[in-house]
Amino acid sequence: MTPFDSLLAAAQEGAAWAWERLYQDLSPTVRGYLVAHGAKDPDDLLGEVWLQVARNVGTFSGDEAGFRSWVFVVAHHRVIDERRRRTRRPETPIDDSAPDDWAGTTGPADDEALAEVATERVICLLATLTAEQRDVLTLRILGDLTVSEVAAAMGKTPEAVKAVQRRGLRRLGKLVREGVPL
Amino acid sequence: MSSFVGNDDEMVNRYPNDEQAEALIRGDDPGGPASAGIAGLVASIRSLGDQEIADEVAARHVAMVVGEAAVSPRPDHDPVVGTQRPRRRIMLSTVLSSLLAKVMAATVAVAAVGTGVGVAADASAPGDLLHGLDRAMEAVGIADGGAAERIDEAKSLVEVDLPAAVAAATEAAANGDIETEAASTAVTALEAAALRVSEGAEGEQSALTRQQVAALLEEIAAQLQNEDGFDGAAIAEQARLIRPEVELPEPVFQDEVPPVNVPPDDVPPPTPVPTIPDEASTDSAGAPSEEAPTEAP
Repeated sequence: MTPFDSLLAAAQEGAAWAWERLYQDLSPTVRGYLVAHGAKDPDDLLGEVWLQVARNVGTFSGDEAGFRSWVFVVAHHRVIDERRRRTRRPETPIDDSAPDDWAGTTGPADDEALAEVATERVICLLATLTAEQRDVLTLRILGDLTVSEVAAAMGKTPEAVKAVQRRGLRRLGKLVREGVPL
Repeated sequence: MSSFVGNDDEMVNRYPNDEQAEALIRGDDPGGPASAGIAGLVASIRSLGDQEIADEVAARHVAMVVGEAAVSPRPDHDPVVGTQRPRRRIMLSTVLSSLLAKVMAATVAVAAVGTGVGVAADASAPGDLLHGLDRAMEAVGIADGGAAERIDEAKSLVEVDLPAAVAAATEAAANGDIETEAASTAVTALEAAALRVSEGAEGEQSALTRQQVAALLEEIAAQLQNEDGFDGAAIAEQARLIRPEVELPEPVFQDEVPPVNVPPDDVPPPTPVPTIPDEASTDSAGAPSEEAPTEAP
């Protein structure tokens, strides 16, 4: 039995220490994934993701990488859920056009505000991709999912995922050539 | 270092290939047009996962999760109360994936014959059938919210997106712990309705099917609120009005399915989506349905 097997077994039995470990290990990147998709309240959505994981953890079996992949698939479904809600009840129109003023943002003085600006820039950047490209790239980059895992999560073939991935990166390349500051 | 010389358009249009894409995803710079910039953007995306979570948020989440896990089913054994026979829950994803695979295969075949062009389900636009299937598959992945909410969602979708309505309703049936026989009958009826509409029912036939589905959903909704217990016969009676016209996949039950790595409610079914021809495709053709304008009032 690997250390992760013990951890998972403890979590399945409801041990607080085990959930703390799992939460600490995965939550920052899961939250980053939710932020990348423009979640209005990423902390709230993160809580929903973990509740869903806790509800179904009894049915999970697999290794650490499989668990990570599974948690991100749950997060992916929460993102889709929120996207659908937003589509039905649009609040603020999402600006999918490439922003003109990438370089024009004046930086606030403190680090926290600078980090916020950086995050906003990344979100704007991702908003120029199609939702499908965003899904694939963020599951791969933040979730660390393999092409096959992304394919399974999105109900696509691995070849289709690779094609979306190439197009997404090509789009990023176009932004770079258009002068998006990093 | 860049392996490209100059900024040839064709080179740019073909960059990156799969190998280069993998390197960029890993955070490496494989060289090529704007590769360092792309790698920088990938690093920026990755940095979103570096932000710490506030202690009070983490503490609240962990407390919630521990509470939830304590009442969740344990592996290898389901709680059985008294002498009551344990209920079996329909493996929604399995049932629906099988159904959708058949519908999609048929539809894509028809589209290919009719237009000479392969159609990718994920390239569907609002208003066409594949879009509905996309939405239905999305709905399978949505396991939260409870049965009553799903039924409400299904009811609102019946007129505009029947496959999605079916998905939401069958999910409600699964989440609501409806007794196996009633749920099975309801799901079979809903699937028949979806197929009927998918196969081109029009006019009065389509309207009738939608009415029947709406009535069935009303019955399920009423039964979900019935504090005296679930009346499976009432659902079955309503469901029988929607007569299956084609062979449907048999519902699969949880205790008949080999163990999998993921919970059934959380993972969308693998679907036979046709491979998108890479260079022939465009971003707009590959745009997912979620980016489409609101489709229903």
